[in-house]
Amino acid sequence: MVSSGIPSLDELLGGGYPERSAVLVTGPAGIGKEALGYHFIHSGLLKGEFCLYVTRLSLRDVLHDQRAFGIASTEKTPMWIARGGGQVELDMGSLPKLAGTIKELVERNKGRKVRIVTDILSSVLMLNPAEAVYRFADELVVALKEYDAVMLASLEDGMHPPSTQAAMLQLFDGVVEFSFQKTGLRLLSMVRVLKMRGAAPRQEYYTFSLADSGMHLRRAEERLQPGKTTPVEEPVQLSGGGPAPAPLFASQEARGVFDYLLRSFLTDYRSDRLSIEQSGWRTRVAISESTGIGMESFYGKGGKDGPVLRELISTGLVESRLFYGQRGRGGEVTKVRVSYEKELVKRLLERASRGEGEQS
Amino acid sequence: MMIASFDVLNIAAVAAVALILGYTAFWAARVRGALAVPAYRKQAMGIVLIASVLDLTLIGLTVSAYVVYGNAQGAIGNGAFGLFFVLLLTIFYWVDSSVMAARRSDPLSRDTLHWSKLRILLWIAIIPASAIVIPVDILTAGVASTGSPPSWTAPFLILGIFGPPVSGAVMLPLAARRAGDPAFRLHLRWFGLFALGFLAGNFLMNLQPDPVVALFSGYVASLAEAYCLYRSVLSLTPLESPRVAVAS
Repeated sequence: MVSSGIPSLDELLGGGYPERSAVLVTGPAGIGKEALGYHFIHSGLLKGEFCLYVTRLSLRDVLHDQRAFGIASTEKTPMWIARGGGQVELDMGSLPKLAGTIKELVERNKGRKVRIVTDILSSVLMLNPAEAVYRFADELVVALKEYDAVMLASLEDGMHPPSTQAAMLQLFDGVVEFSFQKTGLRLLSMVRVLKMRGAAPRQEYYTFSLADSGMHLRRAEERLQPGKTTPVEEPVQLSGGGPAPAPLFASQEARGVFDYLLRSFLTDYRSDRLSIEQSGWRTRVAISESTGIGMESFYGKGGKDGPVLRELISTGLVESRLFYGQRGRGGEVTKVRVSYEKELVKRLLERASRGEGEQS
Repeated sequence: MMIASFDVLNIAAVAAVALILGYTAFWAARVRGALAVPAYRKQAMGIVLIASVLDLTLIGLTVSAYVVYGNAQGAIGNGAFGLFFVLLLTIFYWVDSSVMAARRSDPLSRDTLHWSKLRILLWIAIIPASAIVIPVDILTAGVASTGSPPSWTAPFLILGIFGPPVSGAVMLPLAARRAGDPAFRLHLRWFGLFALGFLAGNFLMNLQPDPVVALFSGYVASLAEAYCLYRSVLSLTPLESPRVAVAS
């Protein structure tokens, strides 16, 4: 395990972040998720590890924030890729080039323990197509596993569509979520570990405070644990296994259907050798019969979609289309499949496909 | 009897507005405490100051009016002048901190209209303007006077009065367009409504020939503007993340 630099968080994580992992920190602007990165880098510097900080801010702004968070400056400094003042100037215009620069710097320090912190994900998501950012993040996450490296990336909550947010969560080995909660006359800053590779999912919230002595976590009172939130920790189970997937759907039914649609796509494309355009389409009745999930989950009142189908489509990972001339005497029928063109779906299919290959 | 009823209603209206403003200042302080990043903390501090100064102005004017003059209208003239300038200073503080916070949310961290330099010039100009006008106003007009400050203070007066709102009206829409933070935009929207309520209240008060009707029109607008300021504070800390919202 790699220490987070925050003793109470290490305790919560069972020693720290997993080796060779990428962890995503999400939360609203201003809540202090940067503190996790600052403490992580500070701790690495004290141990003499190679630390790389990739920031959309200027070096001056980051140092100002660090002081405000009570982090003492050390003689050793990290390698900076920053908008101004760093050893390398940040260029978010070309993500492959940026990924190449990061990998090159890590390669130069091969053999050492490496810590990387970045706060650029939200910015690059605003400046580039989401698919390009998924590719960038996934490429980094996969490439860094070849080194003794741990990466901590932060993502602003509320700035991106829920489907984008869900897709980003899926790519990382661990997710730490920050949020504000109002209770009576108090406004609390909360944190929870949504998932962490190799650890059992935990949903409990912790309040945290930032002080000169560091960041302190405290288990939130039971009554502050939001009861209305459906646990979302149970992952989509793909036949291919792979790294522990992230929470993507709120309901068990949606997870089951998504898994079924992925398998259906693979069956059509690989076993039945249909074209990509033809693969994976299933009627709602067929999905209901195959998954054992009631029809009311797919058919809503007044001709609308049912709740499970709505949830799936709202993520952007599943699509529906009308097929004409395929029902009875030439009527239309609605069919559903995974959105193959989505980068995340492609990757899930690849993993599932690899798994099937290994099993066979 | 008419006057007594009017006074009761007047005090009740003032108390209601003062309570909302006080609650707003309290929550703004809470929000400031919960935020960790200095840029956002300063923005919340701006609302603490605006709500507090408005509250103190309202309570101070009402109390002094009844204690010194025995009626509601006595001190609402020159006495409010000094406090009005303090309010403008706090508004400029909020404008400044909001533009800086917006820059932090901008993916390209753009320095809108060179604000990092322009703000220093504006502070250098606005603070002395207020520092000159307020004491001169108090010294020359005194508590009982309803006259105007001397003519030589006019340039300072113009700078002090128009500097904060004009800089805010120019800078904030630009900064909001560049910032990618919906919470920031929502905050600005509510603050804009607060500013509109403030202007509408003054407009209604000046429009009505009947002082009683004018005063109450002003209080209705004040209630609305106090509520908008409260909502602008709450919008600084989104309480539900989208992912949780999807799950609930």
